[in-house]
Amino acid sequence: MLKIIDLHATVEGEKILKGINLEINKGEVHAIMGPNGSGKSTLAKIVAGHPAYEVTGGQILFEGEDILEMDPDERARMGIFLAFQYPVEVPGVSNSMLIRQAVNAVRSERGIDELDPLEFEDFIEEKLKLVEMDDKFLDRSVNEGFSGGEKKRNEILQLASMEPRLALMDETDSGLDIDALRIVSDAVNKIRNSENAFMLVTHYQRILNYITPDKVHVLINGRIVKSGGKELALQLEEKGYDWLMKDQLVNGEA
Amino acid sequence: MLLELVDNALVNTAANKSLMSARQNAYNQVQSIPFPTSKDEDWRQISLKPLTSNNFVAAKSGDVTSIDIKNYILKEADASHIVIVNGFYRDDLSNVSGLPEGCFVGKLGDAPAHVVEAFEKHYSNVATYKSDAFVPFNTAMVRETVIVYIPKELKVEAPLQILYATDANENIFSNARTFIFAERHSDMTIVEDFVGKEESIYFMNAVTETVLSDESHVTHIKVQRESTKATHISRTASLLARGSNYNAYTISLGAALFRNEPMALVDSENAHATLDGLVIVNGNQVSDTHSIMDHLKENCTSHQLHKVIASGKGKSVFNGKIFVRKDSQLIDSFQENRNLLLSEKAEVFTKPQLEIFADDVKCSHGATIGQLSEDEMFYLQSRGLSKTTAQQLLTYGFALDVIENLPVASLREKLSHDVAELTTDSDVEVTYLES
Ligand SMILES: Nc1ncnc2c1ncn2[C@@H]1O[C@H](COP(=O)(O)OP(=O)(O)OP(=O)(O)O)[C@@H](O)[C@H]1O
Ligand SMILES: [Mg+2]
Repeated sequence: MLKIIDLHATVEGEKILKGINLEINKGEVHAIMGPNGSGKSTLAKIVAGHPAYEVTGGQILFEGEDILEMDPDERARMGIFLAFQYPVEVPGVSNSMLIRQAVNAVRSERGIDELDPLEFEDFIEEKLKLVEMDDKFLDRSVNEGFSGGEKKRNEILQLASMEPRLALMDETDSGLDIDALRIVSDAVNKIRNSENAFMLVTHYQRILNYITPDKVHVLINGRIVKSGGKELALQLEEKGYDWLMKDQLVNGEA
Repeated sequence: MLLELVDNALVNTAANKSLMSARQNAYNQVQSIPFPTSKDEDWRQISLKPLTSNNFVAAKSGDVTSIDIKNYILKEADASHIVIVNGFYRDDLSNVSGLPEGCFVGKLGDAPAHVVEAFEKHYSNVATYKSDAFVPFNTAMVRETVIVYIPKELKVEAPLQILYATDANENIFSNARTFIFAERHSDMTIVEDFVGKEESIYFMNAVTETVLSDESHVTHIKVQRESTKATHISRTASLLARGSNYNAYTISLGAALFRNEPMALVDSENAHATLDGLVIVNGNQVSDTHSIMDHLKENCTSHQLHKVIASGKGKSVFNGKIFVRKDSQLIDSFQENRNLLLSEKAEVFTKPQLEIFADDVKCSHGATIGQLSEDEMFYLQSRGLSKTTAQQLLTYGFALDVIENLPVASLREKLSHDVAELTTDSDVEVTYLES
């Protein structure tokens, strides 16, 4: 589904990604872990098409198609969804207005009839139940004044509504309390199927207890320095990143 | 220019003696006060050429030939609206049957004695703009003043809409004049709505005076959606008595050149004035707002949020004067001018001007000029919304905190629609603020 080949990227002239290779197949969940500032969010944002990052080399293929030249909205309509580490507040734009437009944008791309406001009400009610969110959040401005956890849950509400093929979840677990983490994880497990895929950026093993990853990758200093199964996450929890950083230096110097 | 247009024959058509002398006075002032030039500090940033280069003529009739008046009437004002066309009062198009008893809206000639008395006392004494020829020109030449009188202890539920329409085949000038008097503890919402035949060239010179008695509440919405070739000069002055509450919202979308001069004279204790504004300029439109918030007594509050969306080669000037006089302690005054620049060719000038002579006051003021945020754009686009839709939503969001305060639902709806439309013209080349 997603194939990243030797991806290099800079922001404001600074090299952030230094040759990323990653392949995610449909039906899979991949976890990306790594220290602060290593480039995890950058990777997710570049896949989603953030204009501030410049890709200086490599390729990103989605369903076999090179997407690097595509605008973020085109990518979204093709089925790529980014749940933000820091969801953006959009004053004056109501949450329900945004989600309805988002849902209809992907529906029309998929050749499905758009939802009118009444149909949308029924549609969103289901999704609200899935993430156990109160409908009062629909009338509020997007993320404005939401608590940290509420923002994260709102991202998953949008994810559930847009039914992406590839969901990039950037630290969705940070800021969620224990119950919320369970609810969000349950929702993801319900959405998960053999046709979609997830890339899950996290610092903690905790969420991986609920959402079992097929692969775990460690991103350090713009490179994936180690990949493994779910046991790698446990190892990281125990040992930290130091042992991998040493490896990386050796590699870097070699 | 005004000098050439002022006509003594019309000055002499007053319905009452004190009005007659006000008109004569005003006539004399027009003769003696010079027409502003770009050398005047207060007129520096704009050119009045559209006024001087067109040969404006007086309107001959109030006939409606091309615009659909009904289309402009707000649903909520179905039985509470007055229509003036080209300065001519149109009884036949007006309907105030929905207003409660005791509330008078109409012409001076039809007004009961106590309304005439209030009128005589305050008319022309509120709109006291210094060295200004436009108000006197209006006073001398206006055909009919719309008088709004709200009796004491009455809350009028329906909003009153006063529609000033311009519809002519020549380049006409006309004067609009509204006089609002709110008795003690009264409460009313008034919408002054300026519209015109599309693409037509004309000059609208408008003056509104609002007098608020103790504890009265007036919400005053001015909507300017003139022809995009019109020139619109407007003064809205208010005088606030003890405990009164004046909330003015000036929404300006149309006209090639417009100048708004809202002025609140907060002349008694415990009063509150709001002078909020929303300006949208596109194409070659020029907007100029010179406002005065004058605190003359203690314990008052004021609020001024002036929002501007400038695209194309649009230009906006904001000069907001706030005075806090020597004896007016414990004033809490807020002023903010926020400008959203949607194109590189749009221009914005902002100048907050505070003159504070009292020591125990709280005045906050600020001005920002910015583009749409790249992060907000990316967020919306990552939800599948096209660039155009994302721009539209963000711009609408920017305008919303002015629009959402308007207590007339159909107007809110209409304006949000207009905002979306005005900001998505194909000539809008958007630049973003890097995060
Ligand atoms: N827009 C930007 N401008 C300047 N520097 C940036 C920008 N975006 C990212 N960076 C830098 O790129 C590096 C990688 O950042 P990124 O957000 O991808 O890290 P991360 O792995 O997600 O970290 P964390 O675990 O703290 O979320 C950091 O050093 C960061 O400061
Ligand atoms: Mg990050």
